[in-house]
Amino acid sequence: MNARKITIEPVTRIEGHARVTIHLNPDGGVDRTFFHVDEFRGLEKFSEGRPYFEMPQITQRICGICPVSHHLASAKACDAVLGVEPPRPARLLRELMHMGQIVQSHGMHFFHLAAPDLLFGFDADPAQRNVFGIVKANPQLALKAVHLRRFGQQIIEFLGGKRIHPNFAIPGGVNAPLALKDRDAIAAEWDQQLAFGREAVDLIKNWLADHDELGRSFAAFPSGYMGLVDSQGELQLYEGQVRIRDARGDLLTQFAPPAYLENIGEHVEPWSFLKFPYYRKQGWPQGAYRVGPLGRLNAVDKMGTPLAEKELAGFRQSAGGKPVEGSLFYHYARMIELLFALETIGRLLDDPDILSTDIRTSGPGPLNTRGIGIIEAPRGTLIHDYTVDENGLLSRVNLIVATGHNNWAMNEAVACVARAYINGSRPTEGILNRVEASIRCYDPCLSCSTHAIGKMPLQLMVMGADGTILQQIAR
Amino acid sequence: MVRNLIIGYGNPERRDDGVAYYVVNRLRRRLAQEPLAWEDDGLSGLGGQTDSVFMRQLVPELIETIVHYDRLVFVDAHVPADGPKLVCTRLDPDGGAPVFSHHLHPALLLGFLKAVWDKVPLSHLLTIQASRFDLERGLSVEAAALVEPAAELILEMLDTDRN
Repeated sequence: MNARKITIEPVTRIEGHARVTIHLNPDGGVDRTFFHVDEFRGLEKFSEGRPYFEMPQITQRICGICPVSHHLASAKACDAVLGVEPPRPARLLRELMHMGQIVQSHGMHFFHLAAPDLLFGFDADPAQRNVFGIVKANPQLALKAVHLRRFGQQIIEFLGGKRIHPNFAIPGGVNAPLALKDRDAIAAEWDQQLAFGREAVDLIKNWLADHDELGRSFAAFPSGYMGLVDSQGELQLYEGQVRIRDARGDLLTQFAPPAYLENIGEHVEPWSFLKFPYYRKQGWPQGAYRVGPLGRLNAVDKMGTPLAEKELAGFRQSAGGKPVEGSLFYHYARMIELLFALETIGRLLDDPDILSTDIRTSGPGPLNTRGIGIIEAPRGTLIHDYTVDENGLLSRVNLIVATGHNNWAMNEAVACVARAYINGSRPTEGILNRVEASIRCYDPCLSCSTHAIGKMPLQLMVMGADGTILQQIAR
Repeated sequence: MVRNLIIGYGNPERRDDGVAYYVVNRLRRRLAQEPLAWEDDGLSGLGGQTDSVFMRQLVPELIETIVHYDRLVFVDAHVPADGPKLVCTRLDPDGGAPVFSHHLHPALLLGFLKAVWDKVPLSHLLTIQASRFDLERGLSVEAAALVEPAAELILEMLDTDRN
């Protein structure tokens, strides 16, 4: 038997366009696998020459799913260029908007993109295994998910005037306070959404309990883990220091955002436009790490909110206190973070400063030539790094986006699943869906990670050793 | 009283992709209603017999708005250069495209509505031939010429319902 290659293209229910190729050896086993990202946009380059203060508006156009993350990371980089610290009320308001996005993004991914595999099974008929199937099978659950997404979107709209591409954060603060009526409108719905957040955690927790072996083995592999923490080691999504732990859970490093280039390198492969970040001191590929919900929950000491803290204990117990390795646990971690975000919204609404009109610090004088902003986007750590001239015009832009950090991990996940399920016979649709599902765990946004124009599909190809295409899925 | 909702969607920053914005506003003028401002989706001004909104994309939370209407007309752009310039099709709540991330087909919204509230408003999708998708505002000459006929067609559909 000749060696063969399997290609999955497009990979579906992700944000971006990608292709998976699985090369088989002459025995029909898996030889090599690749998760290719073929999009290219070059946003870093065409931003050069623009005034730095335009970036919070420009960069959020990278993505229609997580524009708030780019908007806020960019504003933080601009704060650094301006050399100012926004007043506390402005920081609270930015965090509130960020939590709104975490809620809507995590909720949408889990219920609309991931849940069909979990509720119907990887081998279910694709005609049923989609969001429409969820709506038909459990309309009330689907409706609650809609309410959750709307709740997050409304927070963004109250603060930024619209749900997508808001106009809110500016260098030194924000451009509008939170109105009392809007604070009260968010508060009026908060209890109901918190209850649903708890229900969502139970849903995935119970699913993993019912699929214990699958959860532990599916795309499970050791790696480093990265996320933002505060001085107490608690999870931070808006601001903090970057922490990296190794595969055993030992602390490798913790650094302030300006030191990111001393700690993070980017490896390049000829078969993908998406780079491969890694921890410099360990080198490539030993220093590869994971970000996003699983990466964060493995990196932090504590959650910092009561309900999420309790859930973190259960999450860690599932791996005997060691780092949790199974990629399906991303969904569990994502729902714990949803709960964290909802609890944080409650805390922020109760803070007397949330209605303050002290929302902007003006620049003190000459600009700094460099500004770096780091935030935890729904999918992981997001870095905006700007260099400007004396007139504030950008001369260099570097963006390292959450999905890029997870590039190595998504390739590893594809390899794990391919090796576990593909051996000799022609792979079924359900097996190829498992390969896609391993990528979906990471909720990748390929539009963001390549700063690309953003077609969503993904293709999977199986190729023989002689380079012939033996099987292809293109949805 | 039969309540109608016209839902235009698209990206008016990409020329003809936003043709529905111009159709919605032409319709509003014909109905002696204020046109929608550039950033206004119209959702805060609902409550009439015939309402209209314009959105950059359809979103699932829209089902809680459309449940209050008896008649829906979705308005979008279509790409093929050949064939009819205006295409009006009846929407089937059981015929929704399953793909859902950035793209939500209106039939999927109807399917959602049916599943949750067992309600299916009479619904059509009117698409308008589009040819230019550059990164700027404003319609091509060809698409601009279709705005009035599209608005007229919607008014005829609503009149037909009344008769």
